[in-house]
Amino acid sequence: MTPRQEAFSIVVCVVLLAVIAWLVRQRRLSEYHSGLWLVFGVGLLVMVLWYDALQFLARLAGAVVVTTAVFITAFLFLVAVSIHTSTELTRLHRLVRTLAQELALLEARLKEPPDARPPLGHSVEQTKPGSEEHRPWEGMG
Amino acid sequence: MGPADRGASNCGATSGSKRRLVIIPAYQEADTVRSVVSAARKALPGCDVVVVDDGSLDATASEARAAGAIVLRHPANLGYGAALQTGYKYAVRMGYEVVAQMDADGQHDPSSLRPLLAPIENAEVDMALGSRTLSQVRYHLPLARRVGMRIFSALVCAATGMRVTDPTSGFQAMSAAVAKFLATDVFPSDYADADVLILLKRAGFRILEVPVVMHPAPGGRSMHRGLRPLYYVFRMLLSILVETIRRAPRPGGGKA
Repeated sequence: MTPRQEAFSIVVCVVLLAVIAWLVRQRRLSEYHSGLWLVFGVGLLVMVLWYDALQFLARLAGAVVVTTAVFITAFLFLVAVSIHTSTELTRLHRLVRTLAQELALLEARLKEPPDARPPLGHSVEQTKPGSEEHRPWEGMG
Repeated sequence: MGPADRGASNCGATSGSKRRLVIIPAYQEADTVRSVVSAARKALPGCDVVVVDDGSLDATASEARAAGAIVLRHPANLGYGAALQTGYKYAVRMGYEVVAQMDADGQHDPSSLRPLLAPIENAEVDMALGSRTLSQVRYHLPLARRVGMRIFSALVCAATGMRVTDPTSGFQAMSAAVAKFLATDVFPSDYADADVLILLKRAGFRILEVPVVMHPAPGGRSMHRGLRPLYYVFRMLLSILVETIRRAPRPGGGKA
């Protein structure tokens, strides 16, 4: 890598890390979700500063030019980050759906006359004594 | 009929007959939901009707309530599948023994509720699927729709070995066990039809097709129009694929 390429890469990594740190400080990004980005920034910085590792990676990927290894690393990290975002989105989607459904069910219960409500703590499935789920003797001894 | 009467009819239904619930998911169906609810209540005396209003901006909820339905309102539009699942959750928590589901647009004829529920109440099967192609009435379905039905039939058959003639039918009846199963996270709640059949079959539930009467949707306001069918087929193929590569679910595994 030419000194110019190296300097540019270092500046990019430092700016990226600074932005992440700033967002976390502002609480606009949670520590949990900043993790992958921090790994991304630090990993890229390591790649740039540690030339042997970069060369090794370039050979591993069959890249002719070392800078390609930087791009490959960056690309793979971005793919990882966006897959992670998709799984989080799935989780949140399910969470929002469940909450909205609970809200609808609760609202309907509030509108019912009190005597029509099942007693509090009404569970969906009462475990009967002797059934498979109910084994009070287990774990007692 | 006010909420107080509804409570009374709940109690009345426990004498002898099984407690039945009809779930009607509705989005912007103010024009038709009232007559659908009344017709369903007339077709099944003593049944409760729950309309799941999926964030409608029109008078769907008040129309449904006026016809004597219990109304569950989603605070935002969550989609057809999610609305159905809210109905299942309600059925499970309130302890209904048999559950039927039908559309709010008047497509599904309430007179078919009885034949749909019969095999469930006799404990012959766990789920009854209303089929329009099995019945005597001839239906003029658009070509795209017929092709779609063929494709999904073939897929369901390939995935489970079960023959169905109308795999995209939303006119169904099921036992409490099935409702409880579908109230968990296993439910593919984006579009729920052929993929649910595969899910249920793989979970070991018994499914039977029952001939039912369906009408063309009033005003042709079916969701299978324009470019939507193509997108729908794509999503359903994806859903079926995902359903078949997942491990077979066990009923009673998750929580409602």
